[in-house]
Amino acid sequence: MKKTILLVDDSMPMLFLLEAVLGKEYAIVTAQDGLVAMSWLMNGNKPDLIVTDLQMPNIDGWELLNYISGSYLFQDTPVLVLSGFYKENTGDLHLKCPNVREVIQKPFDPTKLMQKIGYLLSGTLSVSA
Amino acid sequence: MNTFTADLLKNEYIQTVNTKVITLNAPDREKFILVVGTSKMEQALQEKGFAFIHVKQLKDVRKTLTVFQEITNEMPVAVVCQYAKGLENNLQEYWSNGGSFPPLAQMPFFILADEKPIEDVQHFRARFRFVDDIITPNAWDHLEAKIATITKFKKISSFPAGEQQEVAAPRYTRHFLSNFMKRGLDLVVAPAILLPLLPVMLLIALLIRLESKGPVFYAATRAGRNYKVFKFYKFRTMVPDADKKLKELQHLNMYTDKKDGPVFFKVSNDPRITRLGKFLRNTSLDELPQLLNVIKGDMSLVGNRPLPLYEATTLTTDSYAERFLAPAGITGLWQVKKRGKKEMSIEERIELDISYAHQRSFRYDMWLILNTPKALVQKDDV
Repeated sequence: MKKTILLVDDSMPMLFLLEAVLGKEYAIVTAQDGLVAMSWLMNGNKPDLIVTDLQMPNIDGWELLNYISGSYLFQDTPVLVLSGFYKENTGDLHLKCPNVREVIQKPFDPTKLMQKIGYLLSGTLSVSA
Repeated sequence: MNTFTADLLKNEYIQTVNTKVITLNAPDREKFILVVGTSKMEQALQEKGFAFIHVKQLKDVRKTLTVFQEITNEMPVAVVCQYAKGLENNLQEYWSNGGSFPPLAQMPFFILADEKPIEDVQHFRARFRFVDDIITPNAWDHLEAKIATITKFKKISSFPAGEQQEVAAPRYTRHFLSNFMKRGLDLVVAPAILLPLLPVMLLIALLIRLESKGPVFYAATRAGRNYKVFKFYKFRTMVPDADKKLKELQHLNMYTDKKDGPVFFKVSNDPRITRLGKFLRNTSLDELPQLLNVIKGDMSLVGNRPLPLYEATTLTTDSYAERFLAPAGITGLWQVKKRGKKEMSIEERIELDISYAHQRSFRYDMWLILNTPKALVQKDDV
């Protein structure tokens, strides 16, 4: 069975692009903000990986991370943050939310993103550059 | 607390509801948590600056809250219920009896599970929808943030749809019919041009071999639709190993004014181009092998610029990503509008790509094809 990735981004073209790139290997669920993502998660769904943007309307990425942190349900769910913010502003994200395994800045190389996701989902520790 | 004291609550209600009510000198007195069940969480909560009300059983929750509200006109910010065996039955009862109490519906409800996690967490969540989260003993650091987020979530979710902040409307729809016709046109037109031109192409191949040693075709790695990476074919117009000589030419780059943002490389009258290459470029004959890419499905007759990867990776941002939703093309809006003009900026090129991705339709493709020939003859050796 294909592993499921929850993609959260408020940019529609970005969602389409990510869905096209990742959709070949994974089952994709998309949400255009944290509110939709949270509703989906609260309905008892559990993805194998969450890829989220930070700046979004209604419920943003930081808030979504709050929800995931310290929860039994998502204890072993890795999160990859994909945002336009500089590393300096996102460096402490993994402290705020232990689920954050990787922070990738936009613009990004989709080929490398695929690799990182491959590592995260196979349980191999990735070396963050 | 000025408006009430622990004693008052104790005297009046402890007998009736058998609750232990404790107030603490919390820095932020607004933040009360209703603790249900026996556990050591009080200490942890205290350390995190929460005050709390403690009730022994779930069935006491509603009564206690009613009383608490009467006296203080306040409500706790959340309910944290210690998990214990048999809690499932009590939860069922709690929700069917007290769940309709309006303040409870807006209040985050957590279950704290210690070392023994609930076995089938997902099943548990599905059964008790009002349980917002099952938290681990490590969750104290996150509790305040979690409460804020879930409270906000509940508040926004209860808004009528129109009052939520609007998320960006989809700018892009999958036009199946248009795509189907586009691919059909590619498969008819590309071979129709390629086959009669085969003798010409053979001649060109021969001339390339005669002028300089090296391969006839130049295969570059390019990114097309949905960032699909493919080999992009052209007749070789430069000396062999031209890519390696790129670094030596960086100082001639036309696009050097920008330090951040998209990277482009283009020079006027590039010395690496051979004489035959110059002719092929001016007549655009070097682009003929791209018809093979079209037949293979890497590209389309009409589309966006097939980007080298070093350019493509700089365009995967929210504002530029849309360009990748259209295929790479032999011709396109960028050809028709301003081909070869020196003054075309990086942003203009990107804008044209996005504009094409946004407006594309079969009719638009036809218009672009009809307008391509007059743009083909170049004025500058770019």
